Amino acid sequence: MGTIYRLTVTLFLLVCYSLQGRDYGPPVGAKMAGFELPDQAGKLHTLATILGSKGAIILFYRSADW
Amino acid sequence: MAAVSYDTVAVLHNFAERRGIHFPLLSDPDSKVIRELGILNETIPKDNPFFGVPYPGTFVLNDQGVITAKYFEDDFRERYTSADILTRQFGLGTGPRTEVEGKQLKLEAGSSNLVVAAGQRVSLTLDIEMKPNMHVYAPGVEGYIPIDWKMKESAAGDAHEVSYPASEKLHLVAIDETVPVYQGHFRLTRDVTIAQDAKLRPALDSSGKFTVEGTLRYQACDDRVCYVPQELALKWTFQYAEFDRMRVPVELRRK
Repeated sequence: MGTIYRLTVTLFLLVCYSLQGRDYGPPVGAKMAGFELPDQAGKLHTLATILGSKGAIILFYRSADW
Repeated sequence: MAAVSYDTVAVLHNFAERRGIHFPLLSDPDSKVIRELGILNETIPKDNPFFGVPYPGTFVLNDQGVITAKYFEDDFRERYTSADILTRQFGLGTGPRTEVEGKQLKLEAGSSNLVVAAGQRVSLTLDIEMKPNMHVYAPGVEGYIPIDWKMKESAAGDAHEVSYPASEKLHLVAIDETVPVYQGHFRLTRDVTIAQDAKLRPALDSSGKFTVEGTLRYQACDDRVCYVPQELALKWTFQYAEFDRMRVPVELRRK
């Protein structure tokens, strides 16, 4: 049952992605929106605390438990 | 560097411990930031446990927090590796490099990653060093053979277009022509999206490695002579890594 459910969801998502464009989120040149989020230890981070002297890379991903 | 998902702190804590991750994994359990950025995957029904996930992608920011580049893929199964982005943004690569000696040039074939998983998008690089006074022709040249990097069809992955650097304009006094060329050192880059597991598996050898191959064709000239066109064989070897399918304990999972 679990396998069938996962396969159904996967097929659904495959259809979904095929309908989408590739340019998501704010454009290049825009300032990243501010945020305040906890990390894996519960410590709060903001855009300012993530940014280093050379900037930052911020990655968005589906889930750590998939 | 930070990575954001809709997972709870408890899920991220479990995952980070298991994988030895020390950079911040940020928890956005209500997908508030994901929505504000406009990257919520709204094609997923609201009653589906996966509702709340973003389209996977990466933003590169400068020190003022301004977005200088972004990398998003349509297919959620395909993903730029961090090393690919570092290679494209900063010219860094972590994979091994192989030297190839040609008649009028030498090159190093490199890659962003040595170990790859299905669906990952990785960079291949060719660092080319022309011998003194030699040049090759850039794409778009008329009447000469431009440098041309081809990849063989492969079950292991699909090659993307080559990214060529800006060329120089060279004036050939003897024939009074100005042509686009490369001299000295220059780098060509192209991505390869690694195939999904079922397609890739037959391409693996007994140790779980696979190769992708290509050729570099060029005609080199100096200020007097154009030499016989050359073709160099290129090969990159990768170690295949299966997905980590271990999940967090049931009580931590999203309902």
